[in-house]
Formats: sequence, C-alpha cells, structure tokens
Amino acid sequence: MNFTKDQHLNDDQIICAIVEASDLPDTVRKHLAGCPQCRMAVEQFEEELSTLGKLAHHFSPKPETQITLPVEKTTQSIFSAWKWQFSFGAAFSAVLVFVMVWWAGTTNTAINGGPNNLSGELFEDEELMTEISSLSENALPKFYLDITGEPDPETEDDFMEFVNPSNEDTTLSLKNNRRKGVKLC
Amino acid sequence: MWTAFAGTVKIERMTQEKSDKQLSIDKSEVTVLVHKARTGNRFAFNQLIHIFQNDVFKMVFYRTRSHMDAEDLTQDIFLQAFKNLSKLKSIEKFKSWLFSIAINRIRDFYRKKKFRDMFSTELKTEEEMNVREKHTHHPDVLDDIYKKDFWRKVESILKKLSAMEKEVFTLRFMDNLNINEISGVLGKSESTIKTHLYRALGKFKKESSLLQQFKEVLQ
Repeated sequence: MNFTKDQHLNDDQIICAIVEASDLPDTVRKHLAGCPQCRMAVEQFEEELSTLGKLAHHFSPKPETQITLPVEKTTQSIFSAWKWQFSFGAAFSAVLVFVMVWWAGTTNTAINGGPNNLSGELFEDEELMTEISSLSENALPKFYLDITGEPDPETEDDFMEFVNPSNEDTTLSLKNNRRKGVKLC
Repeated sequence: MWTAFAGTVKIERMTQEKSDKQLSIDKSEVTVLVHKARTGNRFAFNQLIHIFQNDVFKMVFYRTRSHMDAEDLTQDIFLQAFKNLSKLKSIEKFKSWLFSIAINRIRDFYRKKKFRDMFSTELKTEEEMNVREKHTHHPDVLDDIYKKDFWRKVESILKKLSAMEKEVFTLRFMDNLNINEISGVLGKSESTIKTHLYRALGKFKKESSLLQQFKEVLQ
C-alpha cells in the first residue's frame, strides 16, 4: 500500500502505531516517518492517553502508612545448644535430689535396726492405745477422783443397785398380783 | 481544568521522566535486591518496598478508589510477596509478579466485598462515610471537587469497556506498564494483550461519545 500526500493513516493504523509501532507494515511505517501530519495525529493521541495517566497519578493520594514485615522468627530450634544444656541440667539435678532422698532413707533404716525396730514400735503403739482407751472412760486418775468428788464408776453402780435393786421383792409382787385378781400357781 | 493543572502536569511529566530514567538505571539494582531478598535479606526487601510501594498503592487506588482499602491492600500485597518470594521463577520479572499479586488481591477484595454487601448494607454505608470524612477533612476543597469529577468521568469511560479491555487499558496507560509486563501480570500472551488494547483504543477513536467524554476528562 503506497501512501500519497492525500492518503494518510486511518484510525486503526494510528491505534496500531500506539499499541505497537513495529506491527505496522513497512510502507505505513515509512509513511509515518516522513509524514508530519500522521506523526502529529499519533503523537496527539498518545499524548492524550499519557495525560490521562498523569492526571490519574495527580488525583490519587500518596501512601501514608509504612509497610511492616512480620517479626522475624528465631532460627534456633527447641533442641538448640542452650536449651539442651538447660534441660540436661534440670534433669540431672532432679535425679540427684531423688537419689539423695532415697539414700538418706536407706541409711536411716540401717542405723535404727531395720525390721527389729518395727516390732518395738508396734508394742509401743499398743501400750499407747490401752492408755488412751482407759482415759476415754475417765480422763482423771483414781487419786484425783476423790478430790474432785466425781463418783467412781464402780461405787456408782453399787449405790444405784442399792437405790434401785434389779431383782424385785417377790412378797410385794404376790400381794399386788392378788389385788389384780391374777391366779397364782 | 486542564489549564489549571497544565503546569502541575508539566512538572510531573519532568519528574516522571526523571523517575523513569532512574528506574531504568535501577532495573539491575532491583534484580540484585530481589536476589538478596530471596536469601532472607529483610533490608533488601525493605528497599524493594521503598521502590514499588507508591506504584502498587496507586494501582490499587485506581481500582478501589478508597484510600483506606488501598493502604490495607498494599500492606497485604507486600506481605504476600515477602512470604512467597522463593516461588518467584524469574527474578527479572519481579515487577510483573508483584503486580499480578496485586491484581489477584484486588479480585479477592471485590469478591469478599460483594459477598459482604449481600448480607450487610450497614458496612457499606459506614465505609462510604469514612471515605467521605477523609475527603471533607482535606484542606483544599476545590481540589477535592476536581478529584471527584475526574474519577467520576474516568469511571464512566471505563464502564464502556469490557473487563479485560478495562484491565489492559488501565495497566498500560494508568499504571504505565509495557506490553511485556502486562502479559506477565495477566498471564496472557503479548498478542492477546495487544488485541485487547487495540479494541479498547478503537472504542475511544470510533465512539464519538466516548471520545467526547475522554476529552472532557482532559480539559
């Protein structure tokens, strides 16, 4: 296609020149290079599009906040050298304490006689329990009972027997039965 | 409006050219930083954040039009990039990879927002109120009006494009990515990207109403 002085680039060719000038056919490109009118048309449209971009840039705000990246995680793992030392130390001291307590217990038993001492302790416990059970009946010793005037449980029973005998007088009861009309035999 | 901002745009153009120059120089530096960051160098990644934060933030803002959401999403994007940096296959394509994370994150955001909006209208209104509050606190009220007007017009233009055309157009002319980078971001071939871009620009040129709207935005 040959371009004459009167024949200029059409709209499609102008657009093509803006999108990608190298896509234009050689003849059109040559014409564009030599025709100031066509070049002006392309440049004008290009300028208008460029102005649109610049106005958009002008009429938009600027970023105000600063971008913050997430906090960097420590690269050391749980099994890092320091953690190993710390956990090993803690475990060692726990074992040491346990061994010491156990050792102290065993030595104490050995010194005190072991199982023989146990029967002695049981005998002492039994004695103590007897003492406690006698005290539960009366907390005061016999000597103090006379002073306090507290009745002795043994004499109290005799006195009560005297006052209210448990076996009733049979003569009295016979009389009473006759009065009631009860046959005796 | 155009005359009022002509000076600003001219200055911005100069700074943009300057930053483009700087970026082209720093491209190899970016590769070095990415390589260092992959080995766990946090300082290198922080430098990458410094280089790309503004671009990513603006990219998110163009699509959400909410300052707060753009801030939150930018943070998320960089965190995701930091966590998955080892998965980056080609170090040279870091920018495309970063932007593809951003695109996916924005899609997730809209998916969640759609789901949230289905159940609650209160959240939406609250969010709108927050944005409005942020705008009303802006000292330059006239600038605020210009902004709103500009984004309203851009929105109405982009509405007339298909989803893919819109995405390609925004990435090319608003995010200033080249065809190769867009191809990397969207995971499509370069010829597909060119086709979508060609169609999008064709709509501008051929549809007089769209062209009129477009020129209104620039005025």
